[in-house]
Amino acid sequence: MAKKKLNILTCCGSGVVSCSMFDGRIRELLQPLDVELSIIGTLPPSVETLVNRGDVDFVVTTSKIPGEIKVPVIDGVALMSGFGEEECLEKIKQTAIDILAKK
Amino acid sequence: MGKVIISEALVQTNIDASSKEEVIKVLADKLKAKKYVDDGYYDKVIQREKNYPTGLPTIIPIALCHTERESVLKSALAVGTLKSPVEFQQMGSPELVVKAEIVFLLALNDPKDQIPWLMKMTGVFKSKEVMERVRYARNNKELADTCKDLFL
Repeated sequence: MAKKKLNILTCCGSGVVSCSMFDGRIRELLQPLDVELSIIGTLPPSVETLVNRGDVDFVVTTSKIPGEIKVPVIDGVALMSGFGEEECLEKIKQTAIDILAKK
Repeated sequence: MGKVIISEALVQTNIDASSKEEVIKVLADKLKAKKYVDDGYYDKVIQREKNYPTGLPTIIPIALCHTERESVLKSALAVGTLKSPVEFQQMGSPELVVKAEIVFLLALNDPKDQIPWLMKMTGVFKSKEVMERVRYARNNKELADTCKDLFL
Protein backbone atom coordinates (compact mmCIF):
# COMPACT_ATOMS: atom_id res chain seq x y z
CA MET A 1 0.00 0.00 0.00
CA ALA A 2 1.40 3.43 -0.89
CA LYS A 3 2.61 5.63 1.95
CA LYS A 4 0.38 8.51 2.97
CA LYS A 5 1.67 11.95 2.08
CA LEU A 6 1.82 15.22 3.96
CA ASN A 7 2.20 18.52 2.13
CA ILE A 8 3.69 21.13 4.41
CA LEU A 9 4.29 24.75 3.53
CA THR A 10 6.95 26.61 5.47
CA CYS A 11 6.92 30.39 5.40
CA CYS A 12 9.42 33.05 6.34
CA GLY A 13 10.48 36.51 5.24
CA SER A 14 13.17 35.35 2.87
CA GLY A 15 11.38 32.18 1.88
CA VAL A 16 14.67 30.51 2.50
CA VAL A 17 16.65 30.72 5.74
CA SER A 18 14.09 30.06 8.47
CA CYS A 19 12.23 27.81 6.04
CA SER A 20 15.34 25.71 5.61
CA MET A 21 15.71 25.45 9.38
CA PHE A 22 12.10 24.31 9.64
CA ASP A 23 12.59 21.74 6.91
CA GLY A 24 15.23 19.89 8.90
CA ARG A 25 13.39 20.04 12.22
CA ILE A 26 10.06 18.95 10.73
CA ARG A 27 11.56 15.98 8.93
CA GLU A 28 13.28 14.89 12.11
CA LEU A 29 10.07 15.28 14.13
CA LEU A 30 7.75 13.48 11.73
CA GLN A 31 10.12 10.71 10.68
CA PRO A 32 8.50 8.16 13.08
CA LEU A 33 5.15 8.67 11.33
CA ASP A 34 6.64 7.01 8.26
CA VAL A 35 4.86 9.15 5.69
CA GLU A 36 6.02 10.85 2.53
CA LEU A 37 6.83 14.48 3.28
CA SER A 38 6.70 17.33 0.81
CA ILE A 39 8.03 20.49 2.45
CA ILE A 40 8.16 23.68 0.42
CA GLY A 41 9.36 27.10 1.57
CA THR A 42 7.71 30.30 0.48
CA LEU A 43 7.15 33.98 1.25
CA PRO A 44 4.17 35.33 3.23
CA PRO A 45 2.41 36.99 0.26
CA SER A 46 2.39 33.68 -1.67
CA VAL A 47 0.81 31.50 1.00
CA GLU A 48 -2.87 32.25 0.35
CA THR A 49 -2.58 31.44 -3.37
CA LEU A 50 -0.67 28.23 -2.76
CA VAL A 51 -3.13 27.04 -0.13
CA ASN A 52 -6.13 27.81 -2.35
CA ARG A 53 -4.56 25.89 -5.18
CA GLY A 54 -4.97 22.83 -2.98
CA ASP A 55 -2.41 20.33 -1.79
CA VAL A 56 -1.23 22.10 1.34
CA ASP A 57 -2.08 20.33 4.59
CA PHE A 58 -0.69 22.90 6.99
CA VAL A 59 1.67 25.85 7.26
CA VAL A 60 4.56 26.54 9.65
CA THR A 61 5.64 30.17 9.69
CA THR A 62 7.85 32.78 11.33
CA SER A 63 5.81 35.66 10.00
CA LYS A 64 2.21 36.84 9.98
CA ILE A 65 0.52 35.80 6.77
CA PRO A 66 -1.84 38.07 4.84
CA GLY A 67 -5.17 36.81 3.56
CA GLU A 68 -7.48 34.01 4.57
CA ILE A 69 -5.70 30.73 5.07
CA LYS A 70 -7.95 27.69 5.07
CA VAL A 71 -5.55 25.22 6.64
CA PRO A 72 -3.90 25.17 10.08
CA VAL A 73 -1.16 27.79 10.47
CA ILE A 74 1.42 27.12 13.17
CA ASP A 75 3.74 29.78 14.55
CA GLY A 76 7.23 28.30 14.31
CA VAL A 77 9.33 31.07 15.88
CA ALA A 78 9.76 28.89 18.98
CA LEU A 79 11.75 26.45 16.85
CA MET A 80 14.22 29.23 16.14
CA SER A 81 14.47 30.74 19.59
CA GLY A 82 14.17 27.61 21.70
CA PHE A 83 11.56 29.08 24.02
CA GLY A 84 8.30 27.20 23.83
CA GLU A 85 9.96 24.79 21.46
CA GLU A 86 8.57 21.58 22.98
CA GLU A 87 5.01 22.86 22.76
CA CYS A 88 5.55 23.97 19.19
CA LEU A 89 6.93 20.60 18.13
CA GLU A 90 4.05 18.87 19.89
CA LYS A 91 1.57 21.06 18.05
CA ILE A 92 3.14 20.30 14.68
CA LYS A 93 3.17 16.58 15.40
CA GLN A 94 -0.43 16.54 16.60
CA THR A 95 -1.60 18.57 13.59
CA ALA A 96 0.16 16.09 11.30
CA ILE A 97 -1.39 13.11 13.08
CA ASP A 98 -4.90 14.64 12.96
CA ILE A 99 -4.60 15.38 9.26
CA LEU A 100 -3.23 11.93 8.43
CA ALA A 101 -6.11 10.31 10.27
CA LYS A 102 -8.49 11.95 7.80
CA LYS A 103 -6.58 10.88 4.70
CA MET B 1 27.45 22.89 -1.53
CA GLY B 2 29.13 26.12 -0.54
CA LYS B 3 31.17 25.88 2.62
CA VAL B 4 30.32 28.67 5.06
CA ILE B 5 33.31 30.85 5.84
CA ILE B 6 33.94 31.93 9.41
CA SER B 7 37.10 33.86 10.17
CA GLU B 8 38.65 36.41 12.45
CA ALA B 9 38.22 39.04 9.74
CA LEU B 10 34.45 38.57 9.92
CA VAL B 11 33.85 39.01 13.64
CA GLN B 12 33.88 41.90 16.08
CA THR B 13 33.53 41.85 19.83
CA ASN B 14 32.21 44.73 21.89
CA ILE B 15 30.62 46.71 19.06
CA ASP B 16 29.63 50.13 20.32
CA ALA B 17 26.43 50.96 18.45
CA SER B 18 23.12 52.57 19.29
CA SER B 19 21.05 51.22 16.42
CA LYS B 20 20.62 48.01 14.49
CA GLU B 21 21.61 49.79 11.28
CA GLU B 22 24.98 50.64 12.81
CA VAL B 23 25.63 47.09 13.94
CA ILE B 24 24.60 45.59 10.62
CA LYS B 25 26.82 48.10 8.80
CA VAL B 26 29.90 47.07 10.81
CA LEU B 27 29.34 43.40 10.00
CA ALA B 28 28.24 43.92 6.38
CA ASP B 29 31.36 46.01 5.72
CA LYS B 30 33.51 43.09 6.84
CA LEU B 31 31.77 40.76 4.40
CA LYS B 32 32.09 43.34 1.64
CA ALA B 33 35.80 43.91 2.34
CA LYS B 34 36.40 40.24 1.65
CA LYS B 35 34.17 40.37 -1.44
CA TYR B 36 31.82 37.73 -0.01
CA VAL B 37 28.90 40.06 -0.74
CA ASP B 38 28.33 42.85 -3.22
CA ASP B 39 27.50 46.53 -2.77
CA GLY B 40 23.78 45.92 -2.60
CA TYR B 41 23.94 43.52 0.33
CA TYR B 42 23.73 46.03 3.20
CA ASP B 43 20.62 47.77 1.82
CA LYS B 44 18.92 44.43 1.23
CA VAL B 45 19.61 43.27 4.78
CA ILE B 46 18.26 46.53 6.23
CA GLN B 47 15.16 46.36 4.05
CA ARG B 48 14.57 42.76 4.95
CA GLU B 49 14.99 43.53 8.63
CA LYS B 50 12.31 46.22 8.31
CA ASN B 51 9.83 43.89 6.60
CA TYR B 52 10.65 40.65 8.38
CA PRO B 53 12.60 41.32 11.55
CA THR B 54 14.97 38.73 12.92
CA GLY B 55 15.23 39.48 16.63
CA LEU B 56 14.94 36.26 18.65
CA PRO B 57 14.22 36.01 22.39
CA THR B 58 16.78 33.27 22.79
CA ILE B 59 18.49 32.54 26.08
CA ILE B 60 20.84 35.41 25.31
CA PRO B 61 18.85 37.61 22.92
CA ILE B 62 20.15 37.77 19.39
CA ALA B 63 19.37 38.92 15.89
CA LEU B 64 19.82 36.64 12.90
CA CYS B 65 20.10 39.03 9.98
CA HIS B 66 20.15 37.77 6.43
CA THR B 67 18.69 38.29 2.99
CA GLU B 68 18.05 36.31 -0.18
CA ARG B 69 20.99 34.93 -2.06
CA GLU B 70 21.26 37.58 -4.80
CA SER B 71 23.91 39.76 -3.21
CA VAL B 72 25.90 36.88 -1.82
CA LEU B 73 29.05 35.87 -3.67
CA LYS B 74 30.42 33.41 -1.12
CA SER B 75 28.67 31.88 1.89
CA ALA B 76 29.94 33.36 5.12
CA LEU B 77 28.94 34.20 8.67
CA ALA B 78 29.80 37.51 10.33
CA VAL B 79 29.28 37.74 14.10
CA GLY B 80 29.26 40.70 16.44
CA THR B 81 28.92 40.96 20.19
CA LEU B 82 27.58 44.25 21.45
CA LYS B 83 28.96 46.56 24.11
CA SER B 84 25.39 47.33 25.15
CA PRO B 85 22.19 45.70 23.86
CA VAL B 86 20.70 47.08 20.66
CA GLU B 87 16.98 46.91 19.90
CA PHE B 88 15.65 44.73 17.12
CA GLN B 89 12.06 43.82 16.42
CA GLN B 90 11.09 40.24 17.16
CA MET B 91 10.71 37.73 14.38
CA GLY B 92 7.02 37.17 13.68
CA SER B 93 5.93 39.78 16.22
CA PRO B 94 7.29 43.14 15.12
CA GLU B 95 5.46 44.91 17.94
CA LEU B 96 7.84 43.22 20.41
CA VAL B 97 11.37 44.41 21.06
CA VAL B 98 14.40 42.16 21.47
CA LYS B 99 17.46 43.72 23.09
CA ALA B 100 20.07 41.81 21.16
CA GLU B 101 23.49 41.16 22.68
CA ILE B 102 24.84 39.13 19.77
CA VAL B 103 24.17 39.72 16.09
CA PHE B 104 24.71 37.05 13.45
CA LEU B 105 24.88 38.27 9.88
CA LEU B 106 24.36 35.38 7.49
CA ALA B 107 25.36 35.44 3.85
CA LEU B 108 24.24 32.19 2.28
CA ASN B 109 24.23 31.51 -1.42
CA ASP B 110 22.67 28.06 -1.29
CA PRO B 111 20.44 27.77 1.77
CA LYS B 112 18.67 24.60 0.67
CA ASP B 113 21.99 22.80 0.54
CA GLN B 114 23.05 24.31 3.82
CA ILE B 115 20.13 22.94 5.87
CA PRO B 116 22.31 20.79 8.17
CA TRP B 117 24.46 23.83 8.84
CA LEU B 118 21.40 25.96 9.62
CA MET B 119 20.09 23.29 11.96
CA LYS B 120 23.36 23.47 13.88
CA MET B 121 22.71 27.16 14.44
CA THR B 122 19.33 26.56 16.04
CA GLY B 123 20.98 23.96 18.29
CA VAL B 124 23.47 26.55 19.48
CA PHE B 125 20.80 29.11 20.29
CA LYS B 126 19.29 26.81 22.88
CA SER B 127 22.36 26.25 25.01
CA LYS B 128 23.03 28.85 27.70
CA GLU B 129 26.59 27.70 28.19
CA VAL B 130 27.38 27.91 24.51
CA MET B 131 25.70 31.25 24.00
CA GLU B 132 27.68 32.64 26.92
CA ARG B 133 30.91 31.49 25.29
CA VAL B 134 30.01 33.51 22.23
CA ARG B 135 28.70 36.50 24.13
CA TYR B 136 31.68 36.86 26.44
CA ALA B 137 34.48 36.10 24.00
CA ARG B 138 37.24 38.48 25.00
CA ASN B 139 38.64 39.33 21.59
CA ASN B 140 38.07 38.72 17.90
CA LYS B 141 40.30 35.65 17.74
CA GLU B 142 38.44 34.01 20.61
CA LEU B 143 35.08 34.89 19.07
CA ALA B 144 36.10 33.51 15.67
CA ASP B 145 37.53 30.33 17.20
CA THR B 146 34.40 29.77 19.28
CA CYS B 147 32.15 30.26 16.26
CA LYS B 148 34.25 27.92 14.15
CA ASP B 149 33.99 25.26 16.86
CA LEU B 150 30.26 25.64 17.03
CA PHE B 151 29.31 26.09 13.44
CA LEU B 152 31.82 24.32 11.27
